Amino acid sequence: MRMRKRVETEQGRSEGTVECPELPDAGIPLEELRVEVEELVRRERPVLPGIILRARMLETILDRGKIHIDASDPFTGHIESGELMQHYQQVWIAEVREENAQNLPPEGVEKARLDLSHTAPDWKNVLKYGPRGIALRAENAQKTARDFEAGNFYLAVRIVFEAVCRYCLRLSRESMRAGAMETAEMFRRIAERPPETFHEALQWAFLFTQVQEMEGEYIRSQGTFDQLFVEYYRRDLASGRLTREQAGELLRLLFNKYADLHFGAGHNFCLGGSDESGRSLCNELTELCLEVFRERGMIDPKLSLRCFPGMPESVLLNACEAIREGSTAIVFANDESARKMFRKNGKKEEEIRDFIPIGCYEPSIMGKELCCSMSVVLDLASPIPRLMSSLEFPESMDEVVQKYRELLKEHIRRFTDAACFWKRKWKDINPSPLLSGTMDACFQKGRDVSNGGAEYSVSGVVCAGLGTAADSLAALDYAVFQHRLCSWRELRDILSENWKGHEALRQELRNRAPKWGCNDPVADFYGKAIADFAASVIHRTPNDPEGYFQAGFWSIDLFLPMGKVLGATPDGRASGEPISKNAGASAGMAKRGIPALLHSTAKLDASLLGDGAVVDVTLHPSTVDSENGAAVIASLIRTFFDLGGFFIHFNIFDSKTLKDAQISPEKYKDLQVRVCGWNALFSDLSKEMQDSFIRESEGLEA
Amino acid sequence: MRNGIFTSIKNFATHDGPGIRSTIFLKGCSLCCRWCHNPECLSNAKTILFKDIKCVQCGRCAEVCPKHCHTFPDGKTHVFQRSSCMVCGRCETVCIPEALTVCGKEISPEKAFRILEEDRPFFEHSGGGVTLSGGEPLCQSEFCSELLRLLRKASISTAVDTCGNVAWNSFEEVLPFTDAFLFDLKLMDSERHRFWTGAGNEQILQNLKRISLSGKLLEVRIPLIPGVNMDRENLRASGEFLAGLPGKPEVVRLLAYHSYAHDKYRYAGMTDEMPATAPPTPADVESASECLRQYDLEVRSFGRK
Ligand code: SF4
Ligand code: SF4
Ligand code: SF4
Repeated sequence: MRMRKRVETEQGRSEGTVECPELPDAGIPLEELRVEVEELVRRERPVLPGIILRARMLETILDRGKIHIDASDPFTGHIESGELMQHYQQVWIAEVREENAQNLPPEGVEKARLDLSHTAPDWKNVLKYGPRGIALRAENAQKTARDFEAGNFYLAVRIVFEAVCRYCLRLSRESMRAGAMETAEMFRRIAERPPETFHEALQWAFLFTQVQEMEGEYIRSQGTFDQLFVEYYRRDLASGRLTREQAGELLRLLFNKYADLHFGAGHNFCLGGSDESGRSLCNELTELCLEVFRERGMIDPKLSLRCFPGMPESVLLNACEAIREGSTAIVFANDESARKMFRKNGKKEEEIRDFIPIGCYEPSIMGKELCCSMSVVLDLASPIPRLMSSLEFPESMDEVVQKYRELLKEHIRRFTDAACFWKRKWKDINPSPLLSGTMDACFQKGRDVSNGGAEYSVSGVVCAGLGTAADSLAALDYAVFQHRLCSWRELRDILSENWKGHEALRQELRNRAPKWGCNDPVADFYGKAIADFAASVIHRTPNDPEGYFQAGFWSIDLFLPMGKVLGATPDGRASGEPISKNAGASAGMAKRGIPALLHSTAKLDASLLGDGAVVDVTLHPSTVDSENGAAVIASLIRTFFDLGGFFIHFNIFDSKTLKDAQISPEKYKDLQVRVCGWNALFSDLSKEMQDSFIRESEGLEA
Repeated sequence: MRNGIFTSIKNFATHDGPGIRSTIFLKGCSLCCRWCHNPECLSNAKTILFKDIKCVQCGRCAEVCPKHCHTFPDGKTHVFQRSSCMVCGRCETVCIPEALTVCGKEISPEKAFRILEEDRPFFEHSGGGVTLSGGEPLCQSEFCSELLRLLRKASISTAVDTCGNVAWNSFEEVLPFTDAFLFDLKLMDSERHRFWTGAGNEQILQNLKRISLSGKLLEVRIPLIPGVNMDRENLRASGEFLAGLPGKPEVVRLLAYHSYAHDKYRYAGMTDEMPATAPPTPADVESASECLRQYDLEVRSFGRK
């Protein structure tokens, strides 16, 4: 009944106006909404094109879901969406998986998947058009759609953005009811025209973030934030609408709102950067954001700071002070490396200024590129046990390396094939008209991002365990060929027995064989060879449709579970122990200190790191406790970037503090750690993860 | 002898002069401060360090030692009889957990230079460089002077961390190749100085006066040791002396004493004679700084405020 009525109103929609749906109250309870969406899916799934169905589902939620307004909150507005879109997304993914189980690699820590959690809209268009503008754009495009598919795409975009407008009007009316007249006015304006003030622009971006996530794709970058919002800020300051303090207060409250969304990996705000000729894009807002970030000292949002040679020292020092104070939720990105990589991948010069790290540290072009950086996650060390068993009497390391490459290539292909399969299924499972509606290329092509609409549709292959793989090859070289401590077959048996009865050999290989991350020529040779080879296998392998794969060298927190399923490796690692984290050394093996670690990781060819590579640096607090502590951190960053590094982030703690915090968490409520690409409170980590940080800091102090 | 005897090289040193530095620790000292934080550097002879906490009782050292220095009387406890050790280094070779290490290795200035040069990019960005420390590096002034010359030739900034208790001509040897001096000032009263460090301070003060005139960057370092030199009388005398130097030190750095070196004495087979002393509190450090600031000195300390 209800449904029918709604469809009628929609047909009666006159061009150019959006009306607030008449609802007696602030929406229907979640249970009823769930039933309505269920009915819609049951009735329409067999007949409607997938993209229209998803658009209708989102529309239903936005039109009918129960909304809440907190009159005292400058960034209010909440809808009980019940994560219904995600629910169907998961159900449909499971359906597909079941139907194709025999052709897909088994689900494990290493996997290929439909990566809907690494996207960002074109924030420029989000702000430039506002919801109404995008709806109108779609309406116009629909009139000249070049084919049926395009027509459906534009219709879907129109449906969702008109629904967003109505959602804003509902929020406006509800605000009025709550007595928040100014807020009501703001929502009404957002529904009607692009945002004009700083506050409006922030409110709209925050609202958009929530709605896109309702649609089913996580927004993993808030874009080049300081550049996107500085004009609003300047205008408001000039007109006297806002003072700098008030703007700072708005940012603080907004950051708190993002933190309240409780997204585990944190919301990512990109600051800084340079344009195509190397000129600074830093502005007043860069400074203000950093100030607010420092003052809050919280784990979420997190920052991505784009650095470049001519970067104003004050900006970098401000960020480094934050690190020193223990607010380590910042990843530092090298614009020069990004530029090299983007150029190599055929990106246009003027696009490169819109470089944003997505998720944790996955380089992407805002608004042009569909990132999907975790379409595949695999462990470079996982072919090692098979390497041991598939050779009998290798005569040289060349033979060993050759075999490893063969196995690795096979391993990679298995996953990239599966990722292609999933990418093809995206348009059936989770078409994304809201996200696509922000992108110019989707409009030009008349295609959704799930259907090759984005300018660039890449898929990331996360290669974890670089350190463990490099150390393993280096240890084989050391044990079997250089020092003849044992034969290949002996070592194979020892490893399959997890070193039982051979502790001395394990110790020797752990402590004396060359290790990645120590600026050691042998270990670094293997590390670089593995990375170059993996990247060359992955790089520009077509994904489907219209895009290609690219390699990244990082692990996030998967270094623990990946280690759990990996048998003993020749580098002295016992079965089940963690593998190396991100692009860095195996735990406790960066024995030659931070400069050597940075020397090693900077040897990776940045132009091949389409999916990024990051090194973790753990600072002992005493090393940066002089009056120049922040400058010391800044020079580490600048040197690393000069050497060609790509991404770097920091932890700062000593083992004593961490151990104490494990025993009396109440004393260290605010103690945060950089887990991988995000921060967490130490007290919230698993015992296992806490222990891994303690080991790391002990290694540093040894 | 042109070669040096060193104990270790520390990368990413941030307390040994400006910026990010690599510090080489040379063996041998002309004082023997009771609080010494690098006791393994006191004597210039090679020794074996035994870090008992790292020992896994594998027994391999006992197998190779020609002098039977390593024994396991109850099968578990590892006893190291140092008196008959001839520092042949064999036990180090087989000790994989690095519980046994030879402390004091010979190195040529060229080799040291090649190792130290590795972190040059970090020096350049931070205004850092290489620091020679110890022990008293100037006890090996010939080696120092050659190493510093090589570094300087390669445009790497150099610093010498000295206790000052060497003949002036040792300073003269390194002076042309040194950019900065970190100069310790421990006690103003010569008798007290002798009591705590084994030597009077006349030569030290004389050298400090001369160095202050050299035009080199000068950081005077005062270790703050409760019960030894933190009394007002000594602080005032230090302040007066420093204010009266012919060249003003850029920085007077207060280094809060800590007892971290305690274990190192055991590793080196020495006894720590320093009476148990609690480290000065941040308030103590601040009040000492205030006292010295009255003499118009740029006083700093480590530790975040
Ligand atoms: S070789 Fe090393 S670990 Fe083994 S018993 Fe001797 S000191 Fe201990
Ligand atoms: S250095 Fe030589 S003599 Fe001394 S304990 Fe070791 S093996 Fe024995
Ligand atoms: S001068 Fe320094 S190295 Fe020499 S004994 Fe005193 S504290 Fe130790």
